[in-house]
Amino acid sequence: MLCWRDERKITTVMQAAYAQFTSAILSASTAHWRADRSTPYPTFRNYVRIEKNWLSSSTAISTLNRSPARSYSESFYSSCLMLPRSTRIILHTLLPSQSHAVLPYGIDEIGFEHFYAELMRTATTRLKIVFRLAVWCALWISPLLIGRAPPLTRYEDATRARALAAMAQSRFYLVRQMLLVLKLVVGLCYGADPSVRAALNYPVATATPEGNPRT
Amino acid sequence: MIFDGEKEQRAIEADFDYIIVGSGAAGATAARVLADTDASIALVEEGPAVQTAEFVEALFPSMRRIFRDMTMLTTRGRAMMPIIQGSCLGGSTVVNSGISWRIPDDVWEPWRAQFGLGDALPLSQLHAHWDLIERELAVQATPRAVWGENNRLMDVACSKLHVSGFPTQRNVRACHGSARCLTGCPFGAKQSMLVSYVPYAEQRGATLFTSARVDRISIKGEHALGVRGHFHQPTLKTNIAPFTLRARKAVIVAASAIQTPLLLHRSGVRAAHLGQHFQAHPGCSLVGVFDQPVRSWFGATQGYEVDEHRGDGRFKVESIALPLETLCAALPGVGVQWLANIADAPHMAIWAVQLRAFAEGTVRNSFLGTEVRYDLTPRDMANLRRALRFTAELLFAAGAREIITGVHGMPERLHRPDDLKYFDSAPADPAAYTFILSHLFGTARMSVRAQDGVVGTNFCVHDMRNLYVVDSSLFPTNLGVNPQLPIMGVAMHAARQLAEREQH
Repeated sequence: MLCWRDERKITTVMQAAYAQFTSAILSASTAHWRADRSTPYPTFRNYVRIEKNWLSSSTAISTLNRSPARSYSESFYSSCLMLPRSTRIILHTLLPSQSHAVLPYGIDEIGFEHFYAELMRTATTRLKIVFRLAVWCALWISPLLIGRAPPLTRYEDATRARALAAMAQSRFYLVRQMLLVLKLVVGLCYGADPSVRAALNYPVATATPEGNPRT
Repeated sequence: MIFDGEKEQRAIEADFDYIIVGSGAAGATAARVLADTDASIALVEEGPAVQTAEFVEALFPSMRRIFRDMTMLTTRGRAMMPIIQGSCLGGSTVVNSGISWRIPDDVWEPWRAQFGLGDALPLSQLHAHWDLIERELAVQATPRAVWGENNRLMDVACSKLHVSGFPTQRNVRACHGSARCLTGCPFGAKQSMLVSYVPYAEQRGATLFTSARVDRISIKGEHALGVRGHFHQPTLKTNIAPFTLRARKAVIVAASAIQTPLLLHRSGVRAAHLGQHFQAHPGCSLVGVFDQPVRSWFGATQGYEVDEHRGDGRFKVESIALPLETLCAALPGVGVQWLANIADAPHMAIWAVQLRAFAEGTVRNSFLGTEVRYDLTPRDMANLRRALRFTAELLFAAGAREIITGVHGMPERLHRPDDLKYFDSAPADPAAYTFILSHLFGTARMSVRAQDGVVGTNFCVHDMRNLYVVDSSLFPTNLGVNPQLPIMGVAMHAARQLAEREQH
């Protein structure tokens, strides 16, 4: 029978092994990415590091708004798991892929994962709380507006879209505002995306004024 | 000399003749005047020192970097209105469209007659200051070459309806028409304080403290001794190091109509009117969809305005080029319908109403942070409905195919001029509309008697000897016009008085 000291020892060994294992998996899964890019892989752990570097860098503003997402495969980003599944489903309903001739770009194509991580890292607490409230409202309140039981993730695309559209018509001001918050956050990413801007003939958002002559 | 709070790792203590809190239109203008004297000046700015080359087109990094609280500070009341303020070196002048109006006579007259401020703010002297400022900041009508289609269409509408409209007067030198005023002019063409009066003062010896939040003004009896605060990381709000600045002559507060009363209150100033009488210009917009491309990304951001009903209806209509990110959020629909609306963006003209509201609110600190209570009055809502109807009329006159109203309880789109009747029965509840709030006034109003306001006619806080307020919080009413130039004129007047007083 193990005494409590042995148990503690075993726990420590197991924790160390687990850390080694996850580290190896992480290392293997991101090797191709790290080989290509000088910036760190966008896991939560690395974002803490980026943040520390960013604090000491005055040029952060010109580098942080770039969205590298389209360079990487879907499986790569699904492995990040930065965006909760329910949030992804809601935003996918709001901005579906391959559904419009001019703007075939949906939430999956515009690098929202990266943007979301950055939003959670640098946005004001108020914005983060309000965004989460908006997601919660879309998940649990919007189905009720069309006479369905929540959560929203239970339904197919058309029903989900109907439920979100009902938020815009709700008699409750706060519910309408929650949809506006969702659209604002998604719009911040969507409107800055180079492909979207190119599709609309908008000048591509560049980091320096020299790169963006208008006249 | 500049102390960048983001890089400072050590506590700083220093003595200056004048300490100016805030580097926006008021603070920078005061610094510009006092820098011409022999006095030593500290210009303290809560936001970061962002250079012209750092301004980016994408809205999110700009919101994070140069807007206060990422524009997430909203009013509390029937409708939540986001309050738009710049928070960087140069203040809100960095993120406005540079529209420059003098205080109209019909606005100044009640100041004289009702509030007794005719001697404190003599219009003739203010005009002399405005002459100088307009020369120095190159205020001129938006040249036709950079109107772009958005502004041109408004001109067409005014001609068709025979209403008073004209290109906006803006403080811009050699505008590129990049439509990026709202996220900081990337060419340095807009003569914001960042590229005009702040460098002017710095070259003449003023010391700049950026990313430096003033926590309180040290007050002993009737004297303001200086300010205490922290260098901080402005986005994450993390403190880095403390600073203490002592004022030999005066502390001048120019931190905006929201921050000024809060700072004064934190510092122990008590007055019944402090934080009261908060006034503003709520803005509400309509989107016109045209058959031909409007391409609002080219042209002056706000290059044309209509003041036909500034007097009788208390509103002004302005063209505005919103960043695509904001426009996306403002468009109706979900899923495919939303995408279809976004795809129409190049054909959209956005014209906004700027309302001179009667409403008064309050500003105070609460345990949840800054609390701004503000509710439009029924008279304001009547004016708003009239203003929106008028704007829609202009859009149809300019040839809009349809108008997206964005008003809950009204049809989402209007297709023909007959549909304008819907505005007559539009909801009277502010919650049905989407507003933004800019141009803030009145929270430390000037008064002849101490019991009627916060600041005396010499710009000094009542019962204090050397604590001055020079920003729009001392204005007794809102203006109905863009306040940048009035604020500068008043700040220049205050600073000159102060300099003359010290010389004698």
